[in-house]
Parts: sequence; structure tokens; C-alpha cells
Amino acid sequence: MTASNNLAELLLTLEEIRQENYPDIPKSIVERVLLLEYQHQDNRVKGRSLVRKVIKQYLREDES
Amino acid sequence: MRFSSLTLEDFGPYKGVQTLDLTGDDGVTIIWGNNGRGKTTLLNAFRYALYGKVYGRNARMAHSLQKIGNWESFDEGKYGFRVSLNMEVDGVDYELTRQYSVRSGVTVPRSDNDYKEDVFLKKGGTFVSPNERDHILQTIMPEKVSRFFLFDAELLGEYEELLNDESAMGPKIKNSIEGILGVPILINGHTDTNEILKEYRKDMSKLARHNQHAEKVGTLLEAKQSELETHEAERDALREELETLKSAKQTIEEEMSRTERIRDLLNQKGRLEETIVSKKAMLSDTLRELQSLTKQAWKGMLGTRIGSVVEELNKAIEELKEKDARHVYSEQLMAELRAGIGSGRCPMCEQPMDNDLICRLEEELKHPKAGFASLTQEEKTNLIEMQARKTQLERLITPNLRDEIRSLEARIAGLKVDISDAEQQLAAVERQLSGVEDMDGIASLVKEYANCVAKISIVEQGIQKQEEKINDIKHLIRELEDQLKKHGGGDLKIAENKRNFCEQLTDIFDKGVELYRERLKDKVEQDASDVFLRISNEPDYCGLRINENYGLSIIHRGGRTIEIRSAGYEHIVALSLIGALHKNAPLQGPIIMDSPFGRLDPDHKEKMVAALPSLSEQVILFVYEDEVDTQLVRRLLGSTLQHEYSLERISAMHTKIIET
Repeated sequence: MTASNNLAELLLTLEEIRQENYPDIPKSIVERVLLLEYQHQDNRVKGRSLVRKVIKQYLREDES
Repeated sequence: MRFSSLTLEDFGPYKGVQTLDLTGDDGVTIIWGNNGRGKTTLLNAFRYALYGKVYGRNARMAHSLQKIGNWESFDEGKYGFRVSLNMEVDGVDYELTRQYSVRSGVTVPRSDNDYKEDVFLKKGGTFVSPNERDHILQTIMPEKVSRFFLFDAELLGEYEELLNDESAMGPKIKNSIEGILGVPILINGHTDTNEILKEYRKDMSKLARHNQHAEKVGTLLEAKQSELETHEAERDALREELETLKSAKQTIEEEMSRTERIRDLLNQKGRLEETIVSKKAMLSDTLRELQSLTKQAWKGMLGTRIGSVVEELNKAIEELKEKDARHVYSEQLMAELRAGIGSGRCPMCEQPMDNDLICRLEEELKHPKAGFASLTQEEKTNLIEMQARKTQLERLITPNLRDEIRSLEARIAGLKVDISDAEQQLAAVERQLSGVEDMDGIASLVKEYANCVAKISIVEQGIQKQEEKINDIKHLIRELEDQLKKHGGGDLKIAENKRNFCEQLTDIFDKGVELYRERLKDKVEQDASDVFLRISNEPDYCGLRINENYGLSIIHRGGRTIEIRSAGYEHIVALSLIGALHKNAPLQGPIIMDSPFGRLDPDHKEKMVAALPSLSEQVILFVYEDEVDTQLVRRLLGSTLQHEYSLERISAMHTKIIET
């Protein structure tokens, strides 16, 4: 049994909104944020810190 | 997640080291054991390994751990216990060990303080750090959702109560369900991306402040962003309050629906009490009126006699008056005749009268007839006296009170009947209400509901106002940002792009929460209905309907909601919901149930057994031998029956786990 099967439901919901409203936002970043939130439900501080890191990293890459 | 084995050492009646092998394919493991053999202790062993807690049989309170150790081993000088749980999560093997051992320096432990607890987690054969251990355990099976994985009939009953009595627990169970279904993952995503968005907004403002031309705009922008944050926080707090109020409203609605008959009786009681009070007041007024009339009743009784006396007086008065009138008339006539005799002409026709006639008339005038005499003095006095008496007597004559009294008496009798009828009805209503607790609370439901609706309206208006302010501020911020663009350089453009990115990412999560919630409810309703229809043997029930709090109602094929359901059906509905939650939850794991068939009749037991493999990929059941037929279970589960164990008595304090 894998958690990702059901986690996919969450991603599908977000993907539907992304495609319809914000197609310029990459699917991968939404997926990464979601996965981090899933993995760190028990440690919100760490979860937020990692989400911040991922977003900043993406924006830095985007900038360069 | 799947459990591979559970090893116990001196845990409860499980003396020494004993292992429950749970490996195998998807399916069901059954542990047979009669009362006192340690079924609940086995459930507690899972709970202890995962959360370090042990519950008593009738209380959801953490148990003293010292008492969990095996007593025979204790007497033999072997103190403490250990539980190891082997599991497989996403293809990785874990071994979780929790042990309760005596502290160094303690020779004979006397309380929990003399023990220490150690927890180890091996991931793929390697010990992980305590932080990682806690993180992994929280991720694979958080305690807050444990009620959906580890439960006994009592906890299931508690869960049903939560479904029925959501006044206090509605939001709690909703959060718990949303927790297992993964909604908080999206909510956290929204919260975190929104916080990061705020940081990018601030970065933009700071950048602007470093630009000489844009400094003023940047300062204003920062102020507006701070204002925006305040209003967003206020709106979020109101949204939270709205959720709580909506949940409370639903609870009241359900309570109103549940207590409809009682409220109807209470209304009847109120109306009857009002009727009795009003009729009694009318009775009292009517009695006073009757009393007043009765005081005058003697007058009515004398009325007839007085009437006849007055009649006699009238007759006598009339006779005297007639006599007097005759006399007056005769005097006038004689005066005219005398005038005619004097003139020699008739006073009537003015014709001349002859002498004979005049002589005859003179003769008659000399001898007037007796019938024309005037009233004597005595008669005059009598007449005056009689007229005075008549006036006095007439004052004593009153209308006949008998009819009026009879009418009042009839009204009084009618009122008395109405009052006694109403009192009888009231007594009947009160009998029906006897035993109903918290009647004041039930009676005040309508008022409570109106208050709740009014509060919801106020909070909604508050949210709307905050939204309007937020939109206004956002609009202003955009204008300020446009101004910055004109004055700012490339750095500002980059900062703006970053902010836009975060804004959109935040919105994806924000919209995702609502969309996911709606879809979940549909799926949970559908999946719970599927499980329910497999277990239920009532063909008229066509499914379950979910409400805002994930509470489930049974639907009759005619479309009606079954308001009152049996304890057995409560049980089935609760199990259906648990099955549906497992199917839809990102957190998946085994279902471990202790004595789950107690409330079910044989037909439902059979259907429940057949439905077990569909509840979760791994189901572990603790049952006593008469709870369900062994042969039937084997036949129904077939190849999905993975393991069977029996708990065999060695002594009162020693049970052996034996695979059958």
C-alpha cells in the first residue's frame, strides 16, 4: 500500500485548478509544496521552512 | 501501511515473548478469545507501541503502565514489559519497539516513577534518530486519527454518539475526519504559501524604499500591506467563527428535528396551560357576576306580587280618574247648555230652540245625574296616595333575573367542563413528557436557532465587509505597485514577478481546499453507502446521505431520512463511514477492531463478515467464540482469511497466543 495513490487525489484537485486558472505556474512546484506539506504535517515549522526554501529556490532559478 | 507482526514480552497476560504474525496478502486476521483472555490487551498493545498509551476497558483514560506488566513475571522478579511492532510503509520495513523497564538503582518497582520508557524505531534495519522516529510515527499513523484505525465496540459507540450529539463534538469530529482525509495538508499549503507571499510583498516595499523616487510610494505600500494583513487576519478569524456557528446551527437543526415531537408536546402543554388560566379567569368573573345577581334575586321573587298590587292600584286610579273626567265633561256640557238657554240657540248647531225644549233643559240642569258627580275629597286623597304607592312599587319591580342567572349558570358549567377537559389533556401531555430530560433546553431550541441564524448573518456581514476592505486595499496596493513600476527599476519588476507567482500559488491551494472538501464528501457518501448496502439487510434502505459534519443519515428508497435508527444500525453506519474514510484517506492503514459484532443480529453479522475485506486492505479482529460462528467466518472469508489465532488460558495471569 502506498500513500501516494491517495495523495494523488489531492494533487489532481490542485492540478485542475492550476490548469484552469494559472497554467504558467509549473505543476512540479505545486506537487513539491504538496508533498512537503504531507510529509511534515507533524512539524509545521519545518514544513513551512522547507516550502519557503523550495519556492525561493525556484524563483532564484527562474530569475537566473 | 501494513503490520507484519506484533511481538509482546510480559505485556498483560502475555507472559514471556510471544509473537502475532500478520504477514500475508490483503485480508483479515482473526484472534479468537473468550472474556478475560486478553483481546482488549492486544488492542492496547498496538496502541502502546504506536502512542505509548493504554486504555482501560470502560474509560478512555490512560492506564497506569506499571499495572500492564505480567503479574506472574513480576512475582518471579522480572519487571517491565516490551512491545515490538513490525510494519511496512510504502515498501520500507519498520520495526517499532517500546519498552518499559526498571530504572537503574530500583530493586523492586512500586510505581510508574520506578520505570523508564524507551522507544526505538528501525527503518530498513537501521535505527533512526528520536526526531526522525517521532516524525515517521506522526506521518504514518497520527494519534489524532487513531480512532478510525484502532477501536472497540465502546469506542465505536462513542463515535456514534459523536454523530448524533454534535452539539459539543461536531467540529471536533469534523476536524478529525478532515485530518484523516488530508484536508489539513491543503490548508497548511495555503497558510504557508500565503505567509511566503506576505514576505515577497514586504520585499517589494523594501526595494521601493531604497529607490529615491519610489520611497514615498514604497512607505505607503508597506503601510497598506500591513493593513491588508490585519484585515485578512480579521476575516480568517470571522471565517473560523462562521464555521463554528454553522456547525452549531446544524446541530440545533438536527436537535430540533430529533425533538420535534417533544417540542410539539411542549407547545401543546403551553397552550393548554394558557387555556386553563384564561378559562379559570373567565369562570371567576362569571361566578362574581352570578353572585352579584343572586343578591338581587329576592326582588325578582317579589316581582309577581308587586305586579298584581300595582295592577290593582292602576285599576282603582283609572276608575277615579275616569270619574273625575266624566265630571269635568258634564260641567262643560252644562255650561254650554246654560249658554244656549240664555241665547235661545243651540250651542252646537246655532239653530233657535223652542220654549218647550228650553224648559225641559232647565228642568234637567236643576237635577243633574249622579254619575257625573265630582270626586269627593276622600277620593282625591286616595287618588294621590295610590299614585304615590304605585310609583314606589314600580321602583321595586326589576326585570326577571331567572333567565340571566340560568344563562350564567350554563356558562359556568361550560367553563368548568372546558377547564377539566384541558386539565385532563394537560395531564396526558405531561405523562408523555415525563422522563424527558432538559425540557427547558428543548423548549429554548427555537430561540437558540434564531439566535444562531442571527449571529451567522452578522458574521457573514462582517466577513463581507472585511472582504470589501481587503479588495479595496488590494486595489490600492496594485495602484501603488503600478506607480512603483514607473519609478522603479528592474529589481522591482523581478520582485513583482515573485509576488505574482506566490499569489497564484496561494490561490491554487486556497481554491483546492474547497474543491477537495466537496469532492471528498461526495466520495465518502458514495463509498459509505456502498459498504452500508453490503451490510444492511433492509431492502428499503437505499443509501446514506452525508451532512456538513460528515454525519451520515440512512435514506429510505422513498427519499425519506430515517430519523430514529436502531443501535445495530448505528453500528453499521459508523462502520460504513470508517470504511469510506479508509478508502479516501491519504493515510491508510489496518483496521483493528475488538468485539465488533456485539450489537448485530446473525444476518447482519454474516454480511458484516463478508464486507470486512472491503473496509481496509488489512483487518485485524478480536472476537469471542460465540460472537460469530467460526465455520461461517471461514466460509465467508475464504482466501481473504489470512491468519487465525486463539488465545489460550495457561493461568488467570498467563495467556498463550496459538495460531490455528
